[in-house]
Amino acid sequence: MTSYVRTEVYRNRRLPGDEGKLLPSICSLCNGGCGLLVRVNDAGYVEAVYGDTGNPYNQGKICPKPMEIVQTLYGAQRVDHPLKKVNGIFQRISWEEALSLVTEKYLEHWQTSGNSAIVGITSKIGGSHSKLALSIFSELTGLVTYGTGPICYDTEENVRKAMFGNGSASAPLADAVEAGILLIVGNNPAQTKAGQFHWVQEARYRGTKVVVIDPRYTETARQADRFLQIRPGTDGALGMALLHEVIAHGWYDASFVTERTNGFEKLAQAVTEFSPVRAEEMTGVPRRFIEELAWDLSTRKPGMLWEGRGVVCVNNAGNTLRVFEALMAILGNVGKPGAGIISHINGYGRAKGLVPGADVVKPERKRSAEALYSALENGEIKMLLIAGNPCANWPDCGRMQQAVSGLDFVVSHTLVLDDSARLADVVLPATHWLEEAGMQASVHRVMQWKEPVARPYAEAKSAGEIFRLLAAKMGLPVKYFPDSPETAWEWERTHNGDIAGITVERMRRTAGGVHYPCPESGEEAVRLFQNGVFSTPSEKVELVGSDVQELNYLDLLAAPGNRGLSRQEYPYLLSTVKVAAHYHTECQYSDWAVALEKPCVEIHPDTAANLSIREGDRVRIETPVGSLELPARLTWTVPRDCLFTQPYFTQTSPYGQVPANILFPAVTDPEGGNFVNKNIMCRISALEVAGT
Amino acid sequence: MKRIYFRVEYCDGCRACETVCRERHSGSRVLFMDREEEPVSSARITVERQGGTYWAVVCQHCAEAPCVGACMTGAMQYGDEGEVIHRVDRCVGCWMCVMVCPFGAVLPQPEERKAAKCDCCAGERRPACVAACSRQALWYGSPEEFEEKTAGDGHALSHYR
Repeated sequence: MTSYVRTEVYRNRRLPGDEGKLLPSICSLCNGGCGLLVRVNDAGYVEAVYGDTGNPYNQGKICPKPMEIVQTLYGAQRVDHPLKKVNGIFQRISWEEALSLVTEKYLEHWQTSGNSAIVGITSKIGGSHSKLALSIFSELTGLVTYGTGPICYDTEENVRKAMFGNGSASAPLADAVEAGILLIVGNNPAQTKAGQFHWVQEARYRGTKVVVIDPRYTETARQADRFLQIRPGTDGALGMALLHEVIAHGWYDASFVTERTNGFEKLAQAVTEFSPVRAEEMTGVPRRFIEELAWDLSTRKPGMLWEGRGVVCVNNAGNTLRVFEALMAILGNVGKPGAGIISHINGYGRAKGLVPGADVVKPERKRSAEALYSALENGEIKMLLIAGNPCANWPDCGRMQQAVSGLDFVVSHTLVLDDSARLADVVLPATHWLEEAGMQASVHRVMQWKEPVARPYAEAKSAGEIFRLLAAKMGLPVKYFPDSPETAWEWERTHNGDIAGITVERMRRTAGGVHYPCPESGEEAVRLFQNGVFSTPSEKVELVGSDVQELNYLDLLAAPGNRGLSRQEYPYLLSTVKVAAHYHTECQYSDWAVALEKPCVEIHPDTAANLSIREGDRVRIETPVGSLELPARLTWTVPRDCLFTQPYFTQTSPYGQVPANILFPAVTDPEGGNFVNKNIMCRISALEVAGT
Repeated sequence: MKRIYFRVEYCDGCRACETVCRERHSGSRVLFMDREEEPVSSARITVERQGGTYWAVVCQHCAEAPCVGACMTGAMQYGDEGEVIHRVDRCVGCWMCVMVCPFGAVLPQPEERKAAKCDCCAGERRPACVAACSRQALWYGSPEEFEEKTAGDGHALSHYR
């Protein structure tokens, strides 16, 4: 087996020994669902993490993130005991005291200001047990929570739900090997799904044409058959031109369109003006490549689509996603092997009826993610439960920090003392996902069970456990809370018909996991809609939603976040992008991560030359909501006049970097409700010259 | 298969190997020009000081190479003679080879976002670092030749355990 040594950290290394046990687990960082082997020493601590060659999906391949965990797990930043803030300083308290404090405040605010005075931002609440406990707690108290959705996938899920009736991926990534063409739009899986990227390559070796559409010449683009470098935010125009070509030449699957879809005429009407000539002007992609791609899509069947955050977390996402998915639908690329939409969204529905109607408390108010900011600021909300790091990974995080510090009572359930936890009144130590059992879904539409490999660090508790204890303290019926991850899954399974056939035993038994939906009969469905019946009320694909406006192309400069700004004042476009060694803010508390990646802003050399910026110079980036200093990195892989930086660096981490989200306004895409973290207008100026 | 061997007591830490390696892997192959190139070339051999001695870190072309196992794109692969070769065109810069190399011999090139390691100066009779090593601390040859060469000085492979 291997050890980890890097020249930078050569002397401080401690090699993982061969003693202890090698236990299997599933990585829960990016919904890729990679199998891991974890070396745990005799004392029960994690020594090293490897890829599990026995897992049929990742076949031993992983990215550096799970390996870095070893250093995060027992690092100096890890919270080991409940903490209470007294005069601005954290003091250790007992769990008993911490839970009493939370209960007292919770009941006080609930009684005086109603249940909508308390909200939760819970993107990192934990595994399946914790998620279920949170949803039961929400049902009993009327607590409204915001998960990963607003900062990651809400638009994608909503658009797909409206079109197909199901927001999750319709096909597993493993199907790509059977596809004729794989269209990757605004996505860089070579970095963001590194452990599963070999499926794309394998598909390519077997003859799948891999086409990447991206403004950057990404690592994925370098591995593709065809790369279309598109002007940022114009993917929708390209998609509409492809629809135009396919419809004008009659290349679509006519029988599928008539039998299985609604609204084809309206769709055809909406794209009539988007000829490849016009699309060339808008997107910068030469006309003949648009025509070639349309021809490829109609001749190379079945075809698959893999959209990434580059078209989801943008301000015209609704239109873009709808046209690309409509394109797949009219080509008949749904529900067949090698056809469909790949995504890391793996929703499987909610468990219904766990809490009887009489005990359910409805939230008095539900706010959109965008409206949450003002509600936090104007005193409507008094108390906040945090499991995640909204003060770094929500947009306009400077405003979020202000808003959070102005609240009466903030609880943070966290792994490390991060930007958000430092603003909390009570900090509760959380278990890491390696310390918690649970179900982890994957990009292959499988559910895998993971056992805890290490015992919880110090006094850490999972959210599943905490909500049960909290409910007991608050006088809520404890019988509704599962007492173990296994029980939680059993309850969830028996109250959700789609996964009724997936028992813990079955997941343990099956290498790689069980495909879902899998009803009581136990028959797995590898992909959705295999019988041609869709989950919409009409049982057909709704190519056009109730509002035809959705098909109108929305220019990114006229979309929320950029609307009304002067192009002269803010001439550049700013986006955030991710790399393999970092994904969440929790990944930076490792020496290895620090040695591998440094914060920077990527600039095209021509743009840099115009501004007299040289490699390594510190630059200031400004948007109407904030400003940030970063070193410049010149690279030909990005388009001119576009800046790219990384979203995950935070102030309390070893980097001490102001989070890039401080630059992004808290606006959402008009259709889906997803925050925007790409294509925002900004300006840049050189601060100091490197080396002086 | 031939590979680069290092004899610790011969090395005086002059770093000539690093310099010629950088030159050899630059576009112009001229030492004085390579700092002006983009991207700036870098050495694939690193001399580290440990106490009073020096140690040259260079790819060992492992028979069972962790980097080949960890590489998700197949950029790290075995050559015809069992040497480990790095196909730059397939590298996507996920840094897994960097993470798993037990010697720290794979180096990330942040500018190109690709990994780099010793290729034994493919196509040349003798690697540049070996040719430049005036103390002959670096030595290039097959294991049998190395054993023959170093017989009696404690380096012969058969003397290892």
